[in-house]
Amino acid sequence: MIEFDHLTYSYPAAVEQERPRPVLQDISLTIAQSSFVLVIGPSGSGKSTLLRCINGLVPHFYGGTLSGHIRVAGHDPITLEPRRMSPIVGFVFQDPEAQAVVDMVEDELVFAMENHGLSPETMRQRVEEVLDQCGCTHPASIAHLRRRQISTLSGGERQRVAIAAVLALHPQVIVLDEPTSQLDPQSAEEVLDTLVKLNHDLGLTIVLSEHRLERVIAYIDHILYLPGVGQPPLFGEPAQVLAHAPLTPPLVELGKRLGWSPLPLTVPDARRFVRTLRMYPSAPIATLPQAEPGSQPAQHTPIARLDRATAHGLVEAMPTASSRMCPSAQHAPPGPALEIHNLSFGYNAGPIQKTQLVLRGIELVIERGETVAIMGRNGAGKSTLLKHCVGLLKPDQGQVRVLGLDASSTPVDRLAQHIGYVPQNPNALLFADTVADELAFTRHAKGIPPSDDTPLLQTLGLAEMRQNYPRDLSVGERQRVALAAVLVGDPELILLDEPTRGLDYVQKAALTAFLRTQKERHKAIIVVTHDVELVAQCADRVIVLGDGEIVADGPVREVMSALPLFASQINKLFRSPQFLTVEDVMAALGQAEAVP
Amino acid sequence: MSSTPGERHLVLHPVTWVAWTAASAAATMLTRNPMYIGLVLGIVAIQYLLASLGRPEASSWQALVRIALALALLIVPFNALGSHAGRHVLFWLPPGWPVIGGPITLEAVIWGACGALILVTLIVLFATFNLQMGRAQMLRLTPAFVYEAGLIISIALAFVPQLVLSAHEIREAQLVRGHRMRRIRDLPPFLVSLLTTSLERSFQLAESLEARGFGNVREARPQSELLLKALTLFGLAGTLSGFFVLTYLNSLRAAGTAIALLSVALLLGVFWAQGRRLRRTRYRHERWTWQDSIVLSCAAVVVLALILARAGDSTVLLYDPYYSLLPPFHPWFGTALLALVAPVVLRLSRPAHPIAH
Repeated sequence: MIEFDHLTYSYPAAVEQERPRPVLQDISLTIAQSSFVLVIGPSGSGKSTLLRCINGLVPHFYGGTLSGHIRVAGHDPITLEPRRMSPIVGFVFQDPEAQAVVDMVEDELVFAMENHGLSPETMRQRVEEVLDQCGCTHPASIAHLRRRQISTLSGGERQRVAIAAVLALHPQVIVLDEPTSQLDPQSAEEVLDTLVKLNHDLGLTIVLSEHRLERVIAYIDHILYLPGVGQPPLFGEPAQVLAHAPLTPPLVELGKRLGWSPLPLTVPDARRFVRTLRMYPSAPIATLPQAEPGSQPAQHTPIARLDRATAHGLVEAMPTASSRMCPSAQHAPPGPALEIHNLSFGYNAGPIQKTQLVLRGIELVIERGETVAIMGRNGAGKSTLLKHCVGLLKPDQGQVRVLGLDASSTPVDRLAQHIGYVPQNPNALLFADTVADELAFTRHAKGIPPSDDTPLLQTLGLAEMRQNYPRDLSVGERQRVALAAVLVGDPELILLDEPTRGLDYVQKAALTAFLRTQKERHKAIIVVTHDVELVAQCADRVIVLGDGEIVADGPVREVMSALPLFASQINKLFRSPQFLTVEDVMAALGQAEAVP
Repeated sequence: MSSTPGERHLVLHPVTWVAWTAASAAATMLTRNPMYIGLVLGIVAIQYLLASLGRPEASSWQALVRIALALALLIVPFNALGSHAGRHVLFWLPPGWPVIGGPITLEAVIWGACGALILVTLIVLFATFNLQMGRAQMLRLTPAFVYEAGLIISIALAFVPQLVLSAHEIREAQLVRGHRMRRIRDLPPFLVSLLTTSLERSFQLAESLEARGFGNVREARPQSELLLKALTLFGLAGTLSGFFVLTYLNSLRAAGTAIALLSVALLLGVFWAQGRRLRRTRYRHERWTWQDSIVLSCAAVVVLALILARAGDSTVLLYDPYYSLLPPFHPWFGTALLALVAPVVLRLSRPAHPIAH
């Protein structure tokens, strides 16, 4: 169906460079018809480039030099332009907001068909067909969205409309470039359900690239792992490829370390291995150094049985995460980092409509040194709450005190002296020519005397990129530049809004390590996120917002165990507050081994 | 999920909206009489408020209306300070001052106010037009040969609310960095970020368009391409020379008219041929309803009234505060203008739709 034959490609050279580096080198592989293929790899490894080769966007839209052959369903995308490939290959992009061309859903669906000159009767039939196909068994099918304005749809609905729009031309292949990275978990679920249904019912070949494997790994037939230039790609069954790939979801990581075979991909698969694990119930959990990713899988055999009743008894005896990570008590300035009393807020909807309340009666106190994660469904008011903490929004009712200052009466730039806030879209921050200039700008704006940036840049792993243009960097690096830019001046309170969007596992681990160092320095950190794995790694406390109110507020282990919707993979597997991350399990096993 | 208020909007054929808007605009621009303009403004304002119900993009148009009001407030003192004719003097500025010295008269203020009123009416009309039409409908009105240009313009218009959102986001992000925009020098970080974000977004959209086969023209032979281009040039040259002859060489009027008309016909023929080359079909055929007929006939009534007023009694539309302060009001013309209220009446008289699911 799709064949690559010694494909080598490099983007057009920038002015200063002499010879451009190849992004894809000598790739040869075959993708069978009706298979569901996942493409994974670190940032910059050429996943997006390879996907665009299927369509012809590379090299026609991007330029550059390409050698080798590609055949897609018997056609050659290099000779046929993307326009002529569009009835054969449908392409869905990453950003749900930058794909729609016209206002209304129905018009969007027919846009491609109109451009290909299909008759109105055919178009009408296909619109009906496509609306049905993209409404899965999930209750929210898209048929009722037909006359809605696209700007009013959620991210997941928009992506499904985008899929429907490319499906209208009856392509044989659908290629998706990180379609769920900007979406929350429920929307991502809907999009993936749609794709699975299309693959099973219509036999479409689907090629998908993703960073967060855990969402999609259960459905795929093959994985293509692109390690980057200079190393050969791996293509095969999921369990085989993941055994060799360094970037894996926590469940697979656990399986690799404990030597489980065949490698479990989903929680149900892993459950039968868990039953064979035995751990001493009475062994106390002591602190162990963090295991580095990529270490050798443990070869010991499990020796004790895990007793569920006694495991619950361990919860009370377990030290909290914060004292585990922060052994020495720092001298702390008095007062909590954040106090919110009875906060209510609503956005003004229009000239005649009345306001809808987004936040109702929020009560919250966060101390210094705490790392708090705020979770909740899309639209629950998480970002709004965060904006109140930094003074960008003023409450309709109630009071917000940040580091002792009243957020509604203090001007934002005065509040910002002690707060570092990274918005959802870090691109909104970056404008300067070099990374060093960005930091200098914040220094100047906050009135901080100039000093050496090197320690901060080194902590964030940006020391070599000091003179690079920030927008040229990868998503993870840009985010770290934004972090560096707001952390100049060492603020007491760090606010992050969805920091892990679009990051691969390595970049996420770097961010996690950085947040832990900040916690050790007794900073208060508030993270708004959907990413349960990040929460399991970093947070002490979790607050769940639902419909503008606080639904749950407690230590991370309790909340995760109580609410399976927000539980990490390891937690779902063991269903015990003792185990949130791979390190927890390894610690318990290691301790069990130490007991004679 | 509740029913969208959009389902209760009055949906008319795009030609009807264009006719209504054109009639309102003509009525506003052909007279300076604040009574008539005020009447039109009232009707258009109500229509604007109705059209912005339940439409989130209305907020960006609201920003435009607010800018218009601010501009309008600037016009009044501009005119008052510049023009010094008139009998009713409000106060005196020292005559020695270069432009603004002299009597500040009530007539000048009123004249400025009339101009401001016209401006505000036109802008609210423009905002209403955009809210009602939707980009897809406007695109359908563009002829085939400029389809691509029309699409680009409609996308550009769609980027305006996006731009406003991005600007807001960027301003917030920069504010939390401690950067306040007080001086002109503080503007570049904001503008550079905005520009780069917009460029990146338009790049992504361009990719999306390309991947969906936009601009899928039929291949034409190079000879016919060349022929069409030559004919276009020829037609344009002919039109221009025809108009030149008409304007400056009065003795050759007949020849000039003939050349101009023939060249225009040639251009239209070329455009039609180019339109056929673009292999696009249309999905939606708007149906003509009785509401369309009513609104169209009301617009026609207004246009007729305007023509009558111009051609017949030429004092109907005139208003000169320097001549007499009180604006004249001819009831028949005022009533004719009331016909513009048709879409408002039709919209308000519809029964509320039950919640659809």
